[in-house]
Amino acid sequence: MNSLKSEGIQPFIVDGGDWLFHLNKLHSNPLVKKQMDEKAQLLIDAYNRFGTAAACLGEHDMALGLDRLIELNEKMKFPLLCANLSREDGTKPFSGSTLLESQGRKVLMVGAIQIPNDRFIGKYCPKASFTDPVEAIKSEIARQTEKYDLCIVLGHIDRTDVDRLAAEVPEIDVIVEPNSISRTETTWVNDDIKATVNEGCVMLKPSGQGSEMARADLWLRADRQPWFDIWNEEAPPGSNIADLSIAALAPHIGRHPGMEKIVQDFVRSTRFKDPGDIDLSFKPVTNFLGATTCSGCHPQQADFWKNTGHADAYQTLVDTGDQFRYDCMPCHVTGYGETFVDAHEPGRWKDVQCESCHGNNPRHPIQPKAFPWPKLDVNNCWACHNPNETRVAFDPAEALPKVSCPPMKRN
Amino acid sequence: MMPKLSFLFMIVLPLWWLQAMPVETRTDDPASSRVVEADATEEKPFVLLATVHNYGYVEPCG
Repeated sequence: MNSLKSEGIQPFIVDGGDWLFHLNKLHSNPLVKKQMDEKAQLLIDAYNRFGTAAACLGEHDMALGLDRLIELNEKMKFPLLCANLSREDGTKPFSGSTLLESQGRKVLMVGAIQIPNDRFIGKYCPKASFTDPVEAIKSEIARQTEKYDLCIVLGHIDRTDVDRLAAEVPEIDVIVEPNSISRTETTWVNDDIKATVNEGCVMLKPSGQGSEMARADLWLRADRQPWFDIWNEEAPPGSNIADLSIAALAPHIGRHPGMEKIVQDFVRSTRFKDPGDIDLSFKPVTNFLGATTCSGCHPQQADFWKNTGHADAYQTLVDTGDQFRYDCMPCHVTGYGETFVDAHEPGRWKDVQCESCHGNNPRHPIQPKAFPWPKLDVNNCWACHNPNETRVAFDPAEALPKVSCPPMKRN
Repeated sequence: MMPKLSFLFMIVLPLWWLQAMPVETRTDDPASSRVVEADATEEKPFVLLATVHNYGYVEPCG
């Protein structure tokens, strides 16, 4: 997000639900419940700081009961949407839709949840009742009288219902889908359905339990007209064009120093304490040395590195025209997200330098013996050489000899 | 031998023009032709970011 901000873009951020709790067991242990509650407050604080525009209700979000979720909702600076949930008295605890303004556009947001099974309702929300989510979404859109430019549905619903909406409701521009594990699909989905255009409707379905984020750049030219993928050669001139991509939020992306501090404060106490107003704008960290510093005392190793693929990593991005893609950059530079964030200004952090594999040890140059470098952890390789992302098989035993620096002469 | 001026106009200038042409106006692939279309009308896209189903990410123990 800081990368986008550095390019002057303030994105519209949404979540499709199931973002507060992991509902794996019934969680009868009160200590576990307490920690879930504290962590939910941390997540709400984080989503508030991201500038989240809206989120949808998911079943997992009711893991501490509907009543507690309603209390937690008070802390959210964005609407939690669910059009098809009512309480005993007929009132709705969450809005079904909301009209928001972003990037000069008016956006109608609608959310709904698939109907949970009776056992779930009895356990977590016994006084609640659910109606058909597709009809609820249709009804929310139909009763909207104010003009809007885009309609985005957060459909925490089954895939077949998502397809029905795309086919039957032309007003909908985008549907953000969850990954329904209990019905037609599993959590980990194939690449070809993660970001697609179906029936003229943009479908976003990033998978991986939050380890991926979908990005849609939407060129809106004509209201209520079908969308075409940017790669679709048959798109008529003047049609709505969607440029869709999936960004991996894998560990190779450097952690945001400000957010990391908030998280670590929480981890130390497991109690949420409101950090208040803190400056989360990007500031480069100073604990990276850079290959030039290392080469001062280790010229033989630096010379070896210059002939490895790691020293050529940035150029491979330039060769394919991907040097400004923030989802590619972390594995082709050093300390992305920590040393720099603007993809247009990598400065001296191009290529996979020493610290990408060896980690940080900023006091080493001043007191080398007092601060020796720890033994290299081969697990570091997997952050980037992850076959799930690179689609290339990786064997550390085969790869290490190609990049392992010559041993140093010890005094 | 080719006169110097002919060499300049026939070889050097076209090569220089190709080199200097902004990347956005090249149309050697479908994506860049879309960029031309978008830039010509000075449109800016609406940028949407979406995540789903993250269950409140759990850090691995240890």
